[in-house]
Amino acid sequence: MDRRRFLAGSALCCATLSPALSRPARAAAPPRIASTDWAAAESLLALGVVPLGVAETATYRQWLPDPALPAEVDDLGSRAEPNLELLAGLAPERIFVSNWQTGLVPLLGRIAPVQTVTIIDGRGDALGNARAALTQIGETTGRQLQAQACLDAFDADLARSGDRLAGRLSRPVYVGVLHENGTQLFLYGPGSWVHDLMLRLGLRNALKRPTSAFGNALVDIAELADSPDAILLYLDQGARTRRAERALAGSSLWRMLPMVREGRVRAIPPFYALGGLPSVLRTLTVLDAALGGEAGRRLDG
Amino acid sequence: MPLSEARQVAVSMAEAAAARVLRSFPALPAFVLAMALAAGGLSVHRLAGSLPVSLWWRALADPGADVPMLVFAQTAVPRILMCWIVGAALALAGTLLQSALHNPMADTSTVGTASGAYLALAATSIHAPGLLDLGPQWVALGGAALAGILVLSIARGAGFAPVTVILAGLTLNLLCGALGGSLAVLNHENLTALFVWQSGTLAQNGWGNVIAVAPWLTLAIAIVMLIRRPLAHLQLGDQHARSFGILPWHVRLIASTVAVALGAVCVAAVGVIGFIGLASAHLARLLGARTLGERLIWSMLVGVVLLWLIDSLVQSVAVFRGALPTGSTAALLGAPLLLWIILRRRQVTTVHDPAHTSVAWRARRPLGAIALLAAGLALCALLALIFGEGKAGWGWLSAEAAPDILPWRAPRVLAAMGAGMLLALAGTLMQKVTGNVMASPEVLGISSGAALGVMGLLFVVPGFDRLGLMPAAMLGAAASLALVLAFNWRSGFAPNRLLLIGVSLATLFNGVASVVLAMGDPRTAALLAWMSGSTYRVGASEACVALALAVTLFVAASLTARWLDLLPLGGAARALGLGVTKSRVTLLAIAAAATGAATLIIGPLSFVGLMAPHMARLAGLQRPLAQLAGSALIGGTLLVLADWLGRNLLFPWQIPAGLVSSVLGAPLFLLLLWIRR
Repeated sequence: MDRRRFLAGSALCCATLSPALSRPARAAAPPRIASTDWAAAESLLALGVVPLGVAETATYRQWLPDPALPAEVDDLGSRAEPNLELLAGLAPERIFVSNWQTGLVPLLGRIAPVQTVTIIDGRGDALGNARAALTQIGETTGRQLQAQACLDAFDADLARSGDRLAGRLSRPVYVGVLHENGTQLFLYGPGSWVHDLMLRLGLRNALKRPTSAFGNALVDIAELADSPDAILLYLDQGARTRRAERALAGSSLWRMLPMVREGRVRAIPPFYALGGLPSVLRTLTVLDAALGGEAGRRLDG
Repeated sequence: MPLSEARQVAVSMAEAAAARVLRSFPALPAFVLAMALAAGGLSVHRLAGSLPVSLWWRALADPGADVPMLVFAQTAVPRILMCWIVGAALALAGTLLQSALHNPMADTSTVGTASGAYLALAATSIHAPGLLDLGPQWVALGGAALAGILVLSIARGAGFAPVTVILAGLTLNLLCGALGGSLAVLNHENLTALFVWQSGTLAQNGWGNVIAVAPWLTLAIAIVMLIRRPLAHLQLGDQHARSFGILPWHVRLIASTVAVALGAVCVAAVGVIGFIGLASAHLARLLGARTLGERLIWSMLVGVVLLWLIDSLVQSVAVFRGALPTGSTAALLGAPLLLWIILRRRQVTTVHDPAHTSVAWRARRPLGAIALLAAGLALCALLALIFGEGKAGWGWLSAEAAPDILPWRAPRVLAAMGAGMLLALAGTLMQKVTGNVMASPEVLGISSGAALGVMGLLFVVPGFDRLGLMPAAMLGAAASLALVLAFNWRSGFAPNRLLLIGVSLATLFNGVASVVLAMGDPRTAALLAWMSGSTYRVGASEACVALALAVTLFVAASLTARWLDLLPLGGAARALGLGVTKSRVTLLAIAAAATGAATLIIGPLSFVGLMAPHMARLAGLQRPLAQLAGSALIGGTLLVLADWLGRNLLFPWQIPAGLVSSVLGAPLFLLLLWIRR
């Protein structure tokens, strides 16, 4: 809900992760890795590997501030067209790409072996994919122990939050992003790990619509009335979200929706919904803070 | 020939009879009624599913806090009203523009209003998001109005000559598209909202939009009532209007201002709804509306029912539900409709050919000029290879770094050169064949066809795969060429008909593209990059093929130099013993091959095919052979430069060469139009 709770939550997570990170790594030179995919980049950072270069570093730092991307990491340019001359000059040992960047594989393969990281594949079990990706990246970089520790810590957190949430919430939940036009919103559903995470936490996703290949659906505000008893959590993306809120405040349909009238709508701290396990962990913390304990009771009440 | 004369008389008698039957039968009211019944039936069925009919009145009068009633009163009903208002406004704007400019292709979308609004929104959401707090509709309105004013003021100088209006609009569309595209390539994450808007959504939340747009429509109708008499006189020609004491350009100015304002207001409120204006104006006329008054009224009614039906279909058909935005659907349905309209028209309104009015000097020694151009191309290519920005900053390529860097850089430079030459060749050939100096490869529709093939691939294969890209683009280019050939065979490749069909294909492509972009798929970033003309994925073999093809096609085209000399003469060419149809098909095939190959490399949108032939002419290269050679060299140079700028300006980010060349070329071209007026 509010930023302080979120920061406290993430600090807690870091604390649970840090024993794993402080364990001595195998005595070897740090692997030379480049990543055009953000999910792989944040997974690498979580395993204590600093990549040589990441695509779109400026936007990455804005969307995925934690763990912070060190300043010495080179910007590889756009994710659609990472700069090949620059990449060749960095001489990486391995390059991670995302499954929607497979078109780059023939090009990047001329520079270094390319490894594809799949999180969202349109077939579901994105959460399983995020876990598998972390393990796979751990094996590639010789950080198996850290990867296992991260997964264990994540499972422990998941179990703890699950205990706190399961069965407590009688209402279904929408999670999504408000569209600036104030008439539509993107909601997460099957295919995204947000949905998987909600199920694991014993929550019911109120979204019934089929989703796109990326696990979300563009929905009219009026369709929120299909689940009148639901809770709506929307990502706070700063100015963009403020504009959407302002547009919605002027809408009598929005004001009269039961979830709005009865105060079951909350802004939550943003997360990157196409990210890897670190993003899933952040989202877990966010959902726990918004729906667990006293806050959740008030929303559910 | 008495026999054929008799046949002609018989045909024209039959046609007159058919026209009489059509007039006595109320085709127009029947059509509007049928469409309205279909749309109304769908709407009532859908609404009754969400709220019992008995509660409708109460929902509108006093919905209270009942959610289904609120959904009915605040979303469903305003959406239908918005359909009516926007449909009527776009149709009115289309008919006004068409009659004011004597131009069957005029529409708010063809004079650049929508793309002006798009660019304004894209630029504001990245560089001045604070302005959006005032309300995005004002930003869109400002952009649309600026674009409209620019196009109309260029057109005014040319006495609102139809070709000039369409060209200025097309160029501005390209320019705004290129600038918006660069912003999108550089800020993909921030613009998904914009893609949704661009694909045109009629989803309403409250009555705000209806209240904002309705007064504009009312005001426009009032103004049109005032100017309808002078405007009707104008339909019989400027001379006729002047004899009644009417100043033609005053009337034109008022009518087009009203139309642009209407288009801008609609774009600002609901996004880009393509082709409703154009389609309803043509449908009204086709179904029997003849006087200006009839055309104005009936086109508005047709616009209303057309948009209503499309929007009802989009909402009702389970397959489309949520997947297809109304605006894109309108464009998808509108393009074939337009094609059909063109095919039905025996005589596409021809326009004066600016080729013969342009006065240019002729170089005394064309060989010297060509040698100079060749040296320039070689120098540019060399510089592009060895100078640029790297991790350490600007500098020359060192001998140690060369083996690492050149395998990446050389194919791009060579491919840009080859693609530029191919496009310039295609452009020159097309301008000669159609006798229209404003023709360009994009206009033939071949690039759009190739791009449609690639779009189709996206739906089938999950990755953006280069291997699949080639055959898909080839297939698309071949299919669209076959289409163009089939549609034009009987008319003997009449130049204007050719252009109109190309424009329809381009519209179809834009419709598909906006649907794909609105899906919010991350692969769209790669698609956008390719569409905007990036040489990023070009391999050494493709680059060599492009260069070899450029040389081959140049040789093939130069064998046809005599045709090229004669074809622009039109009817006289036939008298001189030229097989006009055969030569046009051959030259178009060469142009299509060149365009298809270049599109694979540089994407569908680039300005080189239009620019290079003009620049060659400005350099004094007038004879076909000299112009072909000169424009090929210039085209190569342009794209090599554009590619170099794109690779280096924002290192390590890269701006696609096609965008750079459009951003540089379009203003230059607009300036040319301005000067020539």
